[in-house]
Amino acid sequence: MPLSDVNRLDISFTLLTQSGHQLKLSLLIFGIVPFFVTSLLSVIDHIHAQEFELCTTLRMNRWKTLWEVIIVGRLDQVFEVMRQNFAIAWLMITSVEGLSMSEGGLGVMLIKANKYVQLDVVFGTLVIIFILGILFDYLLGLLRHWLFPYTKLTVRR
Amino acid sequence: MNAYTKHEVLLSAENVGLQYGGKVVLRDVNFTIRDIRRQGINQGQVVSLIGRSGIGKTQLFRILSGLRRPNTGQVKMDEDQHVVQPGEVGIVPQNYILFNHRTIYQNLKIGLDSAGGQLTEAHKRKTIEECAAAFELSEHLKKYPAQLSGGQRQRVSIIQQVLTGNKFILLDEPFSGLDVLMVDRVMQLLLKISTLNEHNTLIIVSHDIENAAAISDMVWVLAPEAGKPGATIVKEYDLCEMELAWTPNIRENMRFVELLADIRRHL
Ligand SMILES: Nc1ncnc2c1ncn2[C@@H]1O[C@H](COP(=O)(O)OP(=O)(O)O)[C@@H](O)[C@H]1O
Ligand SMILES: [Mg+2]
Repeated sequence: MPLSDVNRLDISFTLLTQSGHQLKLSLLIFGIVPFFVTSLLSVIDHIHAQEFELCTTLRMNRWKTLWEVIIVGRLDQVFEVMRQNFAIAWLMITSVEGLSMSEGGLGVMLIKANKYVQLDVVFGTLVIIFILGILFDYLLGLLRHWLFPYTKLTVRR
Repeated sequence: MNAYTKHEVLLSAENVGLQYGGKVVLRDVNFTIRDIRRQGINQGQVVSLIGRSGIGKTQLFRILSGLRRPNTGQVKMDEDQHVVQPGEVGIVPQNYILFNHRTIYQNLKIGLDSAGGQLTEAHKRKTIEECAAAFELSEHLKKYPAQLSGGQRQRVSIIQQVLTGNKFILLDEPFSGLDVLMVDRVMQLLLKISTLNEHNTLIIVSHDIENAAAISDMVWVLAPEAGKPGATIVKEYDLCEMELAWTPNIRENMRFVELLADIRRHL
């Protein structure tokens, strides 16, 4: 979003929140929640009814079914949703950080450099943001494979 | 050689009917599965419901498993002939669904856990390992379902249901999507399960006349009747009576070939 809009948001959010740190956090959360919830709902929506029927015929009660199918069974996908949301949050962080300059951070560096037309610093910061983003994503991907070895195996139906 | 007697009713469908909107899918489906006894062997039952595609076999499968209530009639089981409840009948759906986030061992264990019982963990492990050895799955216990072939997943699915302790196991199209060799293996597996316990009863729902009839002792044909909507049982074949049950190399028997032709005429 354009900086002027962010500034307007800034005013209303500072009314709601006390410190700059809290402001950053709440903006991030407000930005992420819609993505997170819709992705999670889609994960649950894609569970095949037959999986619940299998639980029924295996005489599992409601709680055990919920646990097995929705919690344990979808943990890897929830993790993947979190990884994607992290990417969105990472993009947002630069603009959100700009709102509370005193806190510092990559976003602040970027905005300051931009203001004083230090294009080399702007470019350097962008590269750092880019590389860190890729690195985090890669590490989360590795973690996912380590935690959920079955994750990339899909069953042919 | 194949002397047998038939005893009490194990499972029965009474006037089962099913409609979708105004469309009649199943009408007045009636059949009875009786306990078959043979000297010196735990002779279970293997029955088939045969019909062409789209006739309502999968719907009947769901009704027999208790997962779906019929619009009319009911399915009753056991000596007290109570109405079947979900969980009392094992199911192996056409796409052999398993918990993909669990290893084969864990999948089998979930089946065994639901048998209740006061088995210790060590005892459960032993049971599963013995079962896996008997049905050629030992080398796959640590794998995930997605790492197995379709035929292997089907075996796991069947054995998972056996381990739940259910005497009745329903199978929807157990021979489709398998190559000739795998079809033979699943037939061996089913025959073996049917003789594990006197009351074990396999109910096969299939369009594959030859393979289904080859291992069955009863065959019912599901088809529409002239002038009436919906499918019903139009013909019953008692393969014990015809001396076509429990016979190796049955496919080479001329009377079996004639039987297949007769079934085909009624489809
Ligand atoms: N949800 C549904 N709504 C309406 N009709 C259905 C539904 N499910 C199945 N049917 C109808 O029931 C009939 C039988 O389907 P099915 O039992 O899957 O056949 P089969 O397994 O013998 O191939 C089909 O003609 C289909 O149109
Ligand atoms: Mg079907």
